[in-house]
Amino acid sequence: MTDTAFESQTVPAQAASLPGSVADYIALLKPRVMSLVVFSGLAGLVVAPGTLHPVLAVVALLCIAVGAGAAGAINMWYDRDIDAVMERTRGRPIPQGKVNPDEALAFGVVLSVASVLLMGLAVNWVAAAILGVANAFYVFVYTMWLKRRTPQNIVIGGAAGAFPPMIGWAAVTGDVSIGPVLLFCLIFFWTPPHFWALALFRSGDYSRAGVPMLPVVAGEAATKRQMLVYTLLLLPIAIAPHWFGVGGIAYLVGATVLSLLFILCAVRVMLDKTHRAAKQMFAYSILYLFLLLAILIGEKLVA
Amino acid sequence: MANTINPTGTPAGTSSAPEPVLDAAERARRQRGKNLALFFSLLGFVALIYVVAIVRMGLHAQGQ
Repeated sequence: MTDTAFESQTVPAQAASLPGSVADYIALLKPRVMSLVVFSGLAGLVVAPGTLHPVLAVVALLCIAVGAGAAGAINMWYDRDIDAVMERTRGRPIPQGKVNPDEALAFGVVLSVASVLLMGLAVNWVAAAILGVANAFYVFVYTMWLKRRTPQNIVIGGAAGAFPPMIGWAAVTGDVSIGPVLLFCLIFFWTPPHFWALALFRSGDYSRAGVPMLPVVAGEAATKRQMLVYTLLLLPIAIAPHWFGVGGIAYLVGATVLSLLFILCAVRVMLDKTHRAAKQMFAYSILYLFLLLAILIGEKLVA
Repeated sequence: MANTINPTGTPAGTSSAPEPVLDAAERARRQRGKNLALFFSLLGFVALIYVVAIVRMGLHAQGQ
């Protein structure tokens, strides 16, 4: 099936001529990605020493959510050409013709600036600065520079998604210490196996779009080896917060078990000739991060 | 399907251009939705600024 044939089936005849609805603008903010970003920001906010007024905590989380969403909207504006080619992304509002690219850019820029300013004025300027750096990193370093140039795109670009716990922590303390750096490292090293699991069973998509993801450039075997290496590296990094007093004994046990299972997933992906194990690993990777952060939050709330 | 939405009540098969009527109605509905969303977003933003100002003044008064 050609791209044109597929689009003619998926794009309603009148959709292209009609303006986007509110739902289309919400879709520009990548709500599913935003939910994990907000949750990791919440983890940083909760485990940080000290307290923050509940209203200001909600504002901080709102700023993290809107800032992340805004970066996602700018990403969709810049990547609209490859989004239209890839099966996974061709249903997005811009390739569907529901939202004008210029409007999407303006929407993203306004929300990004507003979220940083609000964070600075309402919470503190350290958190605002990190939020601004995270947004700029995602848009300029990952989206515009690395994504189409190197198979290491998500290794370096993954830093953008690792900032939220640091932002949450800085919102409470006004500074950055070893605790948020460990949480940053946790997400930073989690990102490559998470994304490469997706890239393994979507490699055709990336190949068609000309995005040099590792499975496209180096092949599946090399990608699977790299995934295993990163999951092995992740084990000591995941349990490190316990040794630095950020997580308790429940976190130590949880992080060890979950990380061992993550390694097991990577081994299964190596042995699997189909993409079934990669799909399972992708799903597990999301659960892994969610559970680790949930244990951290739960421990702090119970203590 | 278009004739069921056509406000002129033109019988099925007799309307020469029912689609523009549907488009115009849908366009107006979506624009109204966007206007309302923008209005409430701005209203919420202003309310948020007020609440944050009150909270920060309270914290400042407590010496935090």
